[in-house]
Parts: sequence; C-alpha cells; structure tokens
Amino acid sequence: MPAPAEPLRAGQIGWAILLGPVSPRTWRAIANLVISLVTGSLFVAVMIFALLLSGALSWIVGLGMLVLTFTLRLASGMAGLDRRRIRRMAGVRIEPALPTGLAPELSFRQRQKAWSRSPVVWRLVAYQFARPVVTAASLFAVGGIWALMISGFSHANSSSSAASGFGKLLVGLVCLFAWPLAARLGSSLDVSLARWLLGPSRSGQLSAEVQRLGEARTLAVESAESERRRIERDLHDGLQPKLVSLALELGLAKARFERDPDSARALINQAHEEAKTAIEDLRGLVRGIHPSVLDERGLDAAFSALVASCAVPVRVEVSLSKRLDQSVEAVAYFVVAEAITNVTKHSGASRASVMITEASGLLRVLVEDDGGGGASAEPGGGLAGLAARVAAIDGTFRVTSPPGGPTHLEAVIPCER
Amino acid sequence: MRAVIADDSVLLREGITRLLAEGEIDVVAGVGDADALLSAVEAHKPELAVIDVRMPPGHRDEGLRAAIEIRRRWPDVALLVLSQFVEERYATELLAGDTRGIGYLLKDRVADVAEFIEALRRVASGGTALDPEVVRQLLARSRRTDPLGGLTPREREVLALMAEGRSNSAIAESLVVSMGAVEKRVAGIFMKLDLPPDDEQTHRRVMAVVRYLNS
Repeated sequence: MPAPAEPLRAGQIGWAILLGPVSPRTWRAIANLVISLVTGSLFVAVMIFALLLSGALSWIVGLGMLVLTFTLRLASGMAGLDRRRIRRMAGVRIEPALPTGLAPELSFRQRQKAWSRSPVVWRLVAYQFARPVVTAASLFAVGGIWALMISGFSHANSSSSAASGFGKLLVGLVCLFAWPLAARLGSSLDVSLARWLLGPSRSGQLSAEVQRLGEARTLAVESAESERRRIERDLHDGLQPKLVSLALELGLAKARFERDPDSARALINQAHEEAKTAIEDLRGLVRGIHPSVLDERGLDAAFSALVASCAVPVRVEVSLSKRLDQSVEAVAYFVVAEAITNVTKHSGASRASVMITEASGLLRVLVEDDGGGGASAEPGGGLAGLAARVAAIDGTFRVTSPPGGPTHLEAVIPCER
Repeated sequence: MRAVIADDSVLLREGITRLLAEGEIDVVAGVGDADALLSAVEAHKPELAVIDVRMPPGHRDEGLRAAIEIRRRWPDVALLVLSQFVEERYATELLAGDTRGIGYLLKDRVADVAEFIEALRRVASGGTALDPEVVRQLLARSRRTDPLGGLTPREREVLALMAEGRSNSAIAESLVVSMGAVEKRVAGIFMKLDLPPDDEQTHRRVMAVVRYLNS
C-alpha cells in the first residue's frame, strides 16, 4: 500500500494542501512524471524505429526474432530502472516480476523462448507503452492548471471590475493549490500502473509457484524411486550372491564332510570369511540407506564414519548452532556421502574438504577436492539423483568440475519453515 | 559332460564350478554377460549351459533372452536358468518352444548339493526341472477356474512334484510311498485333468501339466 496509511484529520489535510506548492513530495512527483515521460517516450521512439527498420529490412532472415529479443531485453532492462526510480521518487518498492528467475543453465535460445512466452515479460513491455500516455496526460493537466493560475493572477489587477478581478484571483489561488494535487495524482497513477505491470501479478506468481511445486514433486517421486532401485541393485548384486555362495559352500562342505573332512574344513573356513564380509556389506548397505547416528546425533557425528571410509584425507567443518529438520539433514548427508564416494572412486584427489554452514535460513553444503575434475550430473547418475533430491526440498545444487579440476560441489537447502 | 556357466558374480561362478565338479561336470567356460555366453556356446558346443537371468549390461533379463537364443540356434544344448527370483512368466517364455532339457531354478537351490546336481543331470539328459516356487505360481495363476478342484490332496502333491519335472520314482522317494502308489495317482491326475496319460517321458509330463495350467 502507498505510504500514508494513517487517517488524516481535516487540519492536516488543510496544511498539506496549503503547503502543496512547496512540498518536496510535490516536486518529486513532478520529477517522477517528467523522468517517466522522457524514458517512456524514448522507449516508444526506439520501438518505432526498430519496427520501421525491421519492416525495411524484412528480407533479412531472423531479423524479426532479433527485434523481438531486443524489445523484450530493453523492456526488462527499463523495468529495472523504473523500479529504482519509483522507489526513489515515490518510496514504493516493487518486487521484480520474475521472483524465481530463469534457470541459469539454459542456453540463450531456450531463455529467449521462455521469455517471449512469458506473460510477465509482455507486461513489462505494456508498461513502457502505457506510461507515456499516463504521464503525458498528467503533466498536461498540471500545465493546464498552471496556465490557468498564471492567467488568473496576471489578469486579476487589470480586470474591468473588482468582482471579476476577485474572481480571477480566486481562480488563480485555487489553481495554485490544485496543481500539486494533480501532480501527485498523476505520479501515483504512474506508480499504480507500474505496480500492476512491473510487479509480480498474483496469478502469475501463483502459476509459477504451482509449476515449481509440480516439478519439485516429480523430482521427489523420481528420486525416491531411483533410490529404491539403487537399494535393490545393491542388495541383488552385492549381498545376495555372497549369501548364495555362502550357502553353496556350506552345502558342499556338508556333502564332503564324511569322505573328505579336510576339504570340508577348508570350505567351512571360506564360508566363515564370506559370512563376515557379508555382514560388513550389509552394514554398509544399511548405513547407505539411512545412518541411524544421523537421527540420533546429527550431521557432524554422521560424517565421521563416512570420512573414515574415504581413501583420501577429508577435512570436515560443521558449524551449526542447532539440529535441523530431519529431511534437510538427510539430504545434506547424502550430498556429502555421494560426493565422498565420487572423491574416492573417480577424482584422484589427494585431499578433500566438507563444509557445512548455516546462515539466514539456508544450509550450505560445500564439498571440494583437488582431483582431476570432469564430474557432471549425467541423467541417471549419482549427481543427477542428488540434484533431484535437493530440488525436491526446494534447494539448489551446483557442480563445477572443469577437466583438470578442482571439483566444487555445492548444495543450498532452505532449513527454516 | 561339459558345461558353460554365465553369471556376472565371479564368486558364484566359482562356487557353481566347484558344485558342478562335484557332479563330475566339466566347466569349459565361465562368462559374465550374455554376448560372451553366446560366443562361448558357439565355441565349445557344451551339453549344458547354466545361465543367470540378470546380467550386464542392463541387469534385467539378458540371461533369459540368451537362453531362448541358444535354444533357437543350438537346440541340443540343455539349459539351466538360475535366478534370484523366479517368475512364472519367464518359465512360460522359456518353455514356449522345444521343451527338452530345460530347467528354471532359484539360485538358492545350489545350497542343497545333491538335489541340485540331480536336477542338473535331469536337465542335461533331456528332462525338466522347474522350481517349486514357479510351480506354485503356475498353480496360483492358472487360467482355469479351479482346475484342481477334483483332485485329492495327495494327487495335488504328486501333481506339483510332476510339474517340477520329477520322475515317478523320484516322486515315490520324495513322498515315501511305493512306486505303484505314485503310478496310480498319476493315472488318476491324467484322467481327471484330461491329459495324455500314456507318456512316460518326464519332460512331456511337465509340459502337459504346464500347458494345462496355462490354457
């Protein structure tokens, strides 16, 4: 809402009107109108020029697209300036119309396509065309009142009769106190227009939110599904054959027990070893599904075993003042677990570091190593799975890993609701 | 007898090799994926191939497809398909064509050495070995409305063992009854289910049961 929200008493209104002509607010309103008219007209002029140019050069393939790109870019650039102007001049803050922004990894063409389809961007353009009309009309009205005022005052003395002279003086006085009102009204019209067209529209906001939530839900379902598949694979390819082989060896030992006790004993020894590694594997699998120490003692405690299993020395710094939501902790844990696995398996790094910090409601997980780089979030890979998991709880996930290294992996997760 | 083993777990390949040695079967090649299996069968022309259903690269049903391919190209090779899960659908696909010398067992069965080797020999000599688990699924999923309604509990037991691929003498041994008693039950089953009764070859019996249950 506009700034003066408190109810004004009649006296205050009287003073405000009396001081209107010298009030800084009035002059700011005038400045706002003038600047808005000039920049708006400039935009329209540039647009007309661009359209004429593209009409004249229509034989150039892709020029229309270029003009469209240019229009949308210019309108969005101008919208940024307009928001700043309105905050300065009218003290009204307008949030950018694209609160979620466009994903930074999109290519120029993809961004362009998304842009030209977005109603939000077209509203920015609409503002540029609408405001010269509003501001010009407002300034015209102010100018008219001024003209009336000047003519009133200057003809008050030279009037033929005292009555008509008094009448002219009255007109002049009314105009003197009316023009600031007109100026402020015009300026606030421009501001309202800007709020309407440059700010996030309610339905646009909602539909963007719905889309984002829909994507997050899909990602959540997919990541849960791929997680189940990973567990199935680990059990099927890792543990099950070991147990079958164990049973097989014991079966052979049983069959040979009477006639060949030595070889039976050797088989039992082997089965014993296999039973022990199977238990170890099972422990690893269970921990990979969800380490219970994470629930009981938190992230820092859970990292100890993870780091111990890494072939490369890892420095861990966790600075958290309190325990976080369980799902946030779990995602943070798996980001680090996957990163550490990658460090061990692929990076060839000589050292790595894990940093967990929390500031203004965001948990930041940073894993770095000095290895060979080249990690990427291929579809179906571990990193893509992580990205989906992080996105599912509204976080962002980024990997920079140029060939030759080093690798930085960062997840930022909202941790306050 | 010579065999080829296909399983992507080295551990299990070694274990099964030892198991086969116990049954005096030579393992001439051990491979880890379906393509290698086909080349190994082509190169060695073994009497028997022991095949894991799930193998690289897809870890899905590569082994089963390879088995069907082997049956198409080298019909004389007996096939024993092993899996950590058994599926009635896979069994039906496997038994869809020529049915001599086909086995489909849970991997767990390797733990019972004598029985496993017995199944292996049965398959290698042209018989059938179906896992009891598969038979259970076949019975449960039978498209006939209560196909076994007319059978006595004892006849059902005999039918299940028959479907696994066992001979009358093996059934008699397993149920601890006389051979004559089994023959009587078998004749009763054939009559009640309207199956060709005069066929004594084990695989034909199995097929009769399987086809009946699936029809």
